[in-house]
Amino acid sequence: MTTQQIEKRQSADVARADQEKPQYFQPSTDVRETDDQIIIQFDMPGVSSDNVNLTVEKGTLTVTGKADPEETGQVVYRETHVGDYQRTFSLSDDVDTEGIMADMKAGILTVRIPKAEKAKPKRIAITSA
Amino acid sequence: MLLNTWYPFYDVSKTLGEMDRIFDAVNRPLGLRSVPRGTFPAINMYSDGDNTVMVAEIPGVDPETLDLSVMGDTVTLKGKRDDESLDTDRYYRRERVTGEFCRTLTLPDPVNPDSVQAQCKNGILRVSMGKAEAAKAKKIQIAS
Repeated sequence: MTTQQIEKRQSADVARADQEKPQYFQPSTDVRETDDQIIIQFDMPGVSSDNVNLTVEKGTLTVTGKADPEETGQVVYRETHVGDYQRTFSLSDDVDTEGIMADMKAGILTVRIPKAEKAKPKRIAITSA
Repeated sequence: MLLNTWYPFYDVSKTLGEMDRIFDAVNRPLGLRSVPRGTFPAINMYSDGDNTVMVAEIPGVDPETLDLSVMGDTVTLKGKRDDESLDTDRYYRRERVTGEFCRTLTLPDPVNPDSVQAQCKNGILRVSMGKAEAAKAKKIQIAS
């Protein structure tokens, strides 16, 4: 089989897989904690801020993103496929889901989740006898 | 009527079909990278007539800091992805690649360096390169 035939066959497979069920890619994600918030960053290249969707339901945070198609002409070399992104995280009770903020910039979605008051570090004053 | 038709190779073709199905499932791209994990950025290459188009996924990289160079039939992309975290931050999960990167790829045909155009949008760098005159297909007039 020539490369072209293989490519054609693979794209037919992809098309078939697409018909069977929506295919999602998991974006690479960083989760880190600072003193007063949890920061989750998703790498979603090709997704504009209009095409990203963030929901929080029953303590579950779900991110979906629709990537713009990049295909032009014939494929010569391929390392990734372009598709929609989806990823889900469970949130603990120690966060304030009302105060979640998110921004999308240069293909990175940054979600900032403030910690609940009870989970923030507290300084205890020590009294001397 | 169809049921009465004797079809001696029914089982053979059925088995072949079954095998195709199995191997299809093996060959199907799962959306996995064909390069080692951690290779950054991921690059796809397309050929569009007289242009070769390279598409690199560089989320979060400032296009101003990128160093893109083309020579003959190789293209090199150099840059750095900043790590914005503080030392006091505590990581629970770290999958995103940061730091300096440099990738060199061989193009299918030599390109004309003056024709290279690059644009960056939503973390996708798109470089369009025109093929060099010597690599373009030429139509030969046939004399009768």
